[in-house]
Amino acid sequence: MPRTTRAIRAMWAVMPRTTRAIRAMGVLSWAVAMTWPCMAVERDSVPARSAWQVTGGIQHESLFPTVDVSSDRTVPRADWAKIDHLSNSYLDVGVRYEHERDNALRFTGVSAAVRGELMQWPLLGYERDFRGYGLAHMHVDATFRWGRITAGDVYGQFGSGLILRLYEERSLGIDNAVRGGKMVVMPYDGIALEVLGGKQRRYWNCYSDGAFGWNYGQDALVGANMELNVERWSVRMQEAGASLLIGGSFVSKYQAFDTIVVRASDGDYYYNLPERVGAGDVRASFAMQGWNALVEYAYKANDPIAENGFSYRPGEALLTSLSYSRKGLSVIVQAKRSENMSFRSDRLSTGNAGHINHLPAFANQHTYALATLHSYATQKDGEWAFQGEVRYTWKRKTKMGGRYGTTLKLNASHIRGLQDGRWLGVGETYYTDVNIELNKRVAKDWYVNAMLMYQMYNSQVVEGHGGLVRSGIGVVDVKWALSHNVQMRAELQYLYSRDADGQWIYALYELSLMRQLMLTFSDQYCIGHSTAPSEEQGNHYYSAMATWQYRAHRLSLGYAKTLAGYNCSGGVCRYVPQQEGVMLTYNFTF
Amino acid sequence: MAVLSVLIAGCDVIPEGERLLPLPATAPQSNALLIDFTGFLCVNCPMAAEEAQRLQQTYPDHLVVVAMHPKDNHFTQTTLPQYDYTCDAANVYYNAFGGTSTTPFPTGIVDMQAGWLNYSEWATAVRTSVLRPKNGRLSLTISDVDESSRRFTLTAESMLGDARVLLWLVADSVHGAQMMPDGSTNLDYTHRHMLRDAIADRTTPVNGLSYTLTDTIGGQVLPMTDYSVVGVLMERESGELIDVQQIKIMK
Repeated sequence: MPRTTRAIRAMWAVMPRTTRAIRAMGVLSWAVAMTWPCMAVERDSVPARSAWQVTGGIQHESLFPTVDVSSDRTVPRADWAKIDHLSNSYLDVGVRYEHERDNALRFTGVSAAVRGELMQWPLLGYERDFRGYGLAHMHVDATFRWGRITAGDVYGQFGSGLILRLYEERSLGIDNAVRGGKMVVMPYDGIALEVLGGKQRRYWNCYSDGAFGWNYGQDALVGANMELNVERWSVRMQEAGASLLIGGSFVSKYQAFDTIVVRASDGDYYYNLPERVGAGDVRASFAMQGWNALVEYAYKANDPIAENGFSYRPGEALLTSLSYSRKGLSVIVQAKRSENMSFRSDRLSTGNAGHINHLPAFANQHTYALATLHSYATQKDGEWAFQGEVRYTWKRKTKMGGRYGTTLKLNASHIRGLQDGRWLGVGETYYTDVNIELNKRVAKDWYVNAMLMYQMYNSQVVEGHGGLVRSGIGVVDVKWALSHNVQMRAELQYLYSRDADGQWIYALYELSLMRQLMLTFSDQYCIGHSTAPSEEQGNHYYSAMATWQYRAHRLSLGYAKTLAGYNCSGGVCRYVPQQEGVMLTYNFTF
Repeated sequence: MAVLSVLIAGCDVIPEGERLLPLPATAPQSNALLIDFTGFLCVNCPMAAEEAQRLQQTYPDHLVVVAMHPKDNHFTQTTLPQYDYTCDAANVYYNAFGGTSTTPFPTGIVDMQAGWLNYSEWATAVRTSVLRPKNGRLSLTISDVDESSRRFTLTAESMLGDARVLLWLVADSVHGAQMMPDGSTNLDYTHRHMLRDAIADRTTPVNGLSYTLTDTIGGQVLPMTDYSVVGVLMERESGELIDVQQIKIMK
């Protein structure tokens, strides 16, 4: 019961009857006098409460190289002598209006956002066409109680992303938004429908086909997604705490015909390329009392593209996942089979731009430096992938838990190629990772994280050269909170391998002061092989960084020499060459 | 329902017997330039050179091929001067296109447009180029050829005023060493269309440009009859190729 009503009832109870009557008439008269103007005016013209909000952010990363980085660059060498500074900069600005007064359309608000990007001399390792500058993103979004409508650049994902995932990942230089529109409708409780369509961004193609890239004659894509939350219609399921989601999606891409010539011994031919390629996805997930099961299947019709050698084989992917979690325990096992599921808006592109879908990575995403020396990238041709994880927490004040509790995590992933002619057959090993991690607060101010890991990485498959690289890795990460304002962290990592560059050791020290300033020093050193020469033997890769954080500002400045390698996120990787110099990053959100 | 119908119809399935169709003969509308980046140590480069030759036979008088051996790629690194087919001009263009020490060879560029092409893609790119009409024509003239001083005079003209013209010295056939696909080394391999020098990079017209041929290849001095001049006419602002011509210095 609202407070006002309770207060009125309480007062009412203590008043004599006559007084109550007089006071009631007075209150009623006052109420009528106050509300009469409102009732007399047309409903829609009554001023409603509303709120405006402006948001945005600035992100800037710079490298001032101190050595020749000409082994990889996206600018012609003729101009290189003029460049002493590489940077990627982003400026996002958005405005939102919240409308609280109900209306015939059930409109609740509108927002608009733009993003400017400046990569005239971009950081190292990005693709050539990444270079450029301009208004990279814009959209207007209207929300209603029954859904939303977006015009402009849209992001989205259907299910697990097996046939559509539109997203931005700046560390990889990925922004595959579709410029057109999207509509989400919830016509009934438990039913969600989504349609979208437009032209996909591939770096700066938004300027290449006319004003802001509104030319769908060359290529375009449309998609539709439906999800049913069955438990919304079943009281029994709701009472049991169960949920069942059934979903289905379809995406169709269009690209104008290209003449791709094939030279054969008896003459020249050309591929009869499909201009429209469709892909569909069905999925079901069930959750109840800590259990969660997911099955998802995707199919793609003939899609001859440069990346698959212009193969007409259909593509498919099957993803299954089963997990259980309760307080202190979580278990998950997953399996995935994918074959020929690279889905692109431009059949001739082979880089990181223009992916319509995303195949999730089934390898654990590590954060420790030596564990990421050989990061796995999802193979588009196809793979079998298995992953499992068990996480258990011993409660505090138990024998295993100690005074503060202990968490143990065991994770394993195993990825293999496919076998021709046998759907269930597996080919060579692409990647294996078994790791055990212990997290424990050993004292009031001391935290320890330790990890042991075995890794097998098929360099020939993932990078196109080399062989199997087998490594054993150990990590100890200790954090000490001296006081509320002073914290220290130290890491020590060791990698042993008889392959690739042999043994590595890594050390890091981090000091946090006043919760605003953080100093970080690290060094990665290649010990090499005991019996064979190593290219990296004796090399140090070091960094010294200072990071200052104040409210919404974050500034990081330092000097580093970094090892060449792959920067991976979600199974997608970008090669970053070796670099050395002063590094500056600045982030501001408002 | 309309959306559903569109989505269901949004898929072309090509039957198995109709996936490869005979390429119809077409009349080329313009000339194309194929730059073949190659190296002595590149075992697959002879196959790319054969593909370039086949394309020239397919589009006679409409395709100019120039082979560039850049210093800055590991496929051209050699300590033996007789196998050094590199030249500074090739290196400049290689770096301008973004080549690095590890760029895989063979690779090519068509019409001076950035974007490395595997030699299996050359047929498509060249065909697209020669079928596309280009606005302009380059006229190359060689005169005053003096064999004793190895000097000649070059004129390059175009109807388009203020266009950019690149003039290259190309050796038509150089006999030397080349690693082959089977891993062996052919010591009498014929290297074709080898870039030897960038004569000029100017604005049209180029009138009476005198050039003295001082080039040596692996210690060899080739006769003037083994050389050609390639002229590449480009839009100054966009860099788009307008025309390309090749003319023998001495017939």
